[in-house]
Amino acid sequence: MGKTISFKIKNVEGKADTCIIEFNGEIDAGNSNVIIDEIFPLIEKGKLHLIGDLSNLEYINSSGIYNLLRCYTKVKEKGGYFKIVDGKQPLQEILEALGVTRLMPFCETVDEALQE
Amino acid sequence: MKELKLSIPADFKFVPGVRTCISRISSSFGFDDRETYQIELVVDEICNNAIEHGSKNPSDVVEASCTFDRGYMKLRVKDAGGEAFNVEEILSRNIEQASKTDLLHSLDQRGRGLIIVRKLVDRLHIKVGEDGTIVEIEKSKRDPEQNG
Repeated sequence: MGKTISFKIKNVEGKADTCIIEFNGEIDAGNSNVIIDEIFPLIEKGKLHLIGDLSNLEYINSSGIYNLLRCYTKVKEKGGYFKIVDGKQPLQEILEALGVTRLMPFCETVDEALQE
Repeated sequence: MKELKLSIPADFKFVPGVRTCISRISSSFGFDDRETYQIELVVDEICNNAIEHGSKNPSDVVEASCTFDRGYMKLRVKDAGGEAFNVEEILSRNIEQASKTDLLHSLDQRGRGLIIVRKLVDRLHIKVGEDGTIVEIEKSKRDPEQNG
């Protein structure tokens, strides 16, 4: 893998079923399964309102995007949501070009994601 | 015209270095930040495909060559020949599924990275042969008057 990927999981006060997942680093074919390893257990533990903050993510490829979508599908099947906070350009442009922003709910900031 | 040639062992660990290398060289030839990011992604997806689907043994090698000229870059990636599936047919199917907003299903298929490649390059050519698959792309700078 290139740079590693790391996650910061933050709980939200007053919302036991909500958490914010900060993505840092790069996601590629070598490490994209870490997304599943980190997020699926959260869903299994009842965290059904997820906010994925991509604002510090430097790179993501198709395998990473696919695993984000898998998480979205899994939490949606359980009645929850997986909102995404916009990534930096030009990463965000790729997500838009692929149609990911039409499929998953995107917000400009974490605060916006928490308010809706 | 300047050419870079790389012999990449069929191991995913080499891909980040390759994509970063070619992306940085693209910047030196005047591609802007947006374009170099796209080039990095294109290199990543094509090389990953070559290793995952085009290599049978760890000792296999993926041959990549990259040329830079005034206003454009070309990338050619040849694998050693792995799974015998029709890349062009799969690419067409994946693009069709993605266009129908069945994005998750299309990204769950082989060659999903080629959906991204197709969107980001000006020309994509795939040739499947008995001794391997060759993927060629061409990408132009938005402003060919920049240094190159």
